[in-house]
Amino acid sequence: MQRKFSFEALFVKYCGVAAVVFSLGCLIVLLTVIFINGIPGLRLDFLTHFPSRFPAQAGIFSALIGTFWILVMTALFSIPLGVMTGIYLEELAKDNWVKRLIQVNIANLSGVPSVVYGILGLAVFVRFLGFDRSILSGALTMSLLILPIIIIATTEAIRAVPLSIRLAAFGVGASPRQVIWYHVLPEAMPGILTGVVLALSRAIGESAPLIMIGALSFVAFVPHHPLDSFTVLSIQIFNWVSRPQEAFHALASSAIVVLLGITLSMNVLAIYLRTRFVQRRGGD
Amino acid sequence: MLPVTNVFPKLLTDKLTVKYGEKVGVENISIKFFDSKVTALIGPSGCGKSTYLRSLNRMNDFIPNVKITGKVLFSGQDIYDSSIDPALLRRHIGMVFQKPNPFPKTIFENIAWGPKRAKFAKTEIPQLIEDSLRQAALWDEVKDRLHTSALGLSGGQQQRLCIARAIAMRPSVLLMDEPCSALDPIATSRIEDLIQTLKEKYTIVIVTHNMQQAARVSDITAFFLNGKLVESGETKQIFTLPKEIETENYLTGKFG
Ligand SMILES: Nc1ncnc2c1ncn2[C@@H]1O[C@H](COP(=O)(O)OP(=O)(O)OP(=O)(O)O)[C@@H](O)[C@H]1O
Ligand SMILES: [Mg+2]
Repeated sequence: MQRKFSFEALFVKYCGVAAVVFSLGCLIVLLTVIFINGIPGLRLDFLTHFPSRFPAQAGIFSALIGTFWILVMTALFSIPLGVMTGIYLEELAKDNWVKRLIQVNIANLSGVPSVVYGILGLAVFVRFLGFDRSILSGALTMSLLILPIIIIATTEAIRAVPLSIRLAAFGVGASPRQVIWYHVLPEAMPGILTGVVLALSRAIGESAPLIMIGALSFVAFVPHHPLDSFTVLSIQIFNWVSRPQEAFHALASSAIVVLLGITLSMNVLAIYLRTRFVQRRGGD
Repeated sequence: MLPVTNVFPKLLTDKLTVKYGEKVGVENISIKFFDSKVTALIGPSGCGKSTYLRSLNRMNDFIPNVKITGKVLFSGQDIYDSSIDPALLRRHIGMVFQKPNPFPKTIFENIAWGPKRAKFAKTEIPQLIEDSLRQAALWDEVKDRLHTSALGLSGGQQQRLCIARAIAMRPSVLLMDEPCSALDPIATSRIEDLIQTLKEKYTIVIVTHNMQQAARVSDITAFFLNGKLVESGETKQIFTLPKEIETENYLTGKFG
């Protein structure tokens, strides 16, 4: 029997292949250029020096520390709040129009440009609450930015837990709270973790909101306190790229390699945690 | 009067009606369930057997818009009374579902989880697990792999594990909704044997689509049609001398 010629199938197949080749190709070219320019500058000095007017002495120490501050504090604010909101919306809230309105709005919020969060942060945290251009303001702004992502990832992971598991637990006399805590959350945890890591990677890659709230681009000290002013890697990169001298562009590439390294390690950590979870419940 | 009605029923429903919104699931059902008896619920698909079964341990609570009128009395207590904690109730009225649904945990944890939450003594749990697995005729097959995932068991073994999990709570009533429908004939006959031994200790209510199975395992049979109870009585009588013409038609395969 002859196979029927299907234009759609052919179209989908070749377009799919073309799309993959094109996007992977762009990524590879981009990464290659960055690595070629960035790797030579990756010396220990680069990590431990403060920024400088002289490219040969400039480093990312303050930006690196600032990035970790922002990462940790954003995680502290956004993970508990986002995960708990997701659990509440999915498991506890009554299914009525208020809940649906909230869900639609959260979905929309995740599509709002990050600059807008920056303006909000400037108005609320920097000015109104008087936190100034501090790490605290930055972390709170970043938390707002990634909350919708965490909430959506949590609700989706929870929704994917099969009903049969809940019914089994109710069947042996579990209370709703025990079902959520012992069965739904462990099952949803890998999905929640993935969402959290994606969201946090986004938080350390963003620069626009932090520029809006007035994070500095030249910081020659290490922040010790949440109310200290700060800079982060993405701002440092932005700053170096916008200078005319070639030497600073190379520094930017090196900083990008460091930032990629951090993101990559976070993803490795997420994968490790996921496998730990799967093993603990007996594998499948 | 039938001899079975002479004893005090463990569980009974009195004019029980369950509605999904405006849609009637079952209507005006009164049945008594007795200790050490197996009651089979039979009837064509969609006649309300599962709806009725779920209302016996309040598993309908999780379906939105369910309305229940009439009474379900367990040991003389109305289980829909506001003073009843449904979670506590389900420890006394256990359930086995149509599709095996073990937790994605080890075999040991599958059985231990419920008793731990119910604050059974820790020292008692290993023995409880062995006893439950023996009662469910699964012990010999899994005793060397208690700490491996339950998802690695076959369908029939998983279903017996679910039965072991249910009886580990030491319920007095066991509800089973088509427990063999996902199993092959060998696994099915093992579970039927199991029901015969379990009935000495428990009040068992089983939904089944398989007429032979109902005839083999049950003492009492209730025939449902379109949400109504057509007739109920001793299985032998229902299968040999049904009172209603609909029952006869169904049993002889004229419809359904
Ligand atoms: N969650 C629900 N929401 C609305 N209607 C429902 C729901 N569950 C069952 N019903 C309806 O109630 C009636 C009885 O359904 P039920 O599942 O109890 O039948 P059943 O006898 O168990 O059928 P089967 O033998 O196919 O399992 C059917 O008309 C069904 O459509
Ligand atoms: Mg059913």
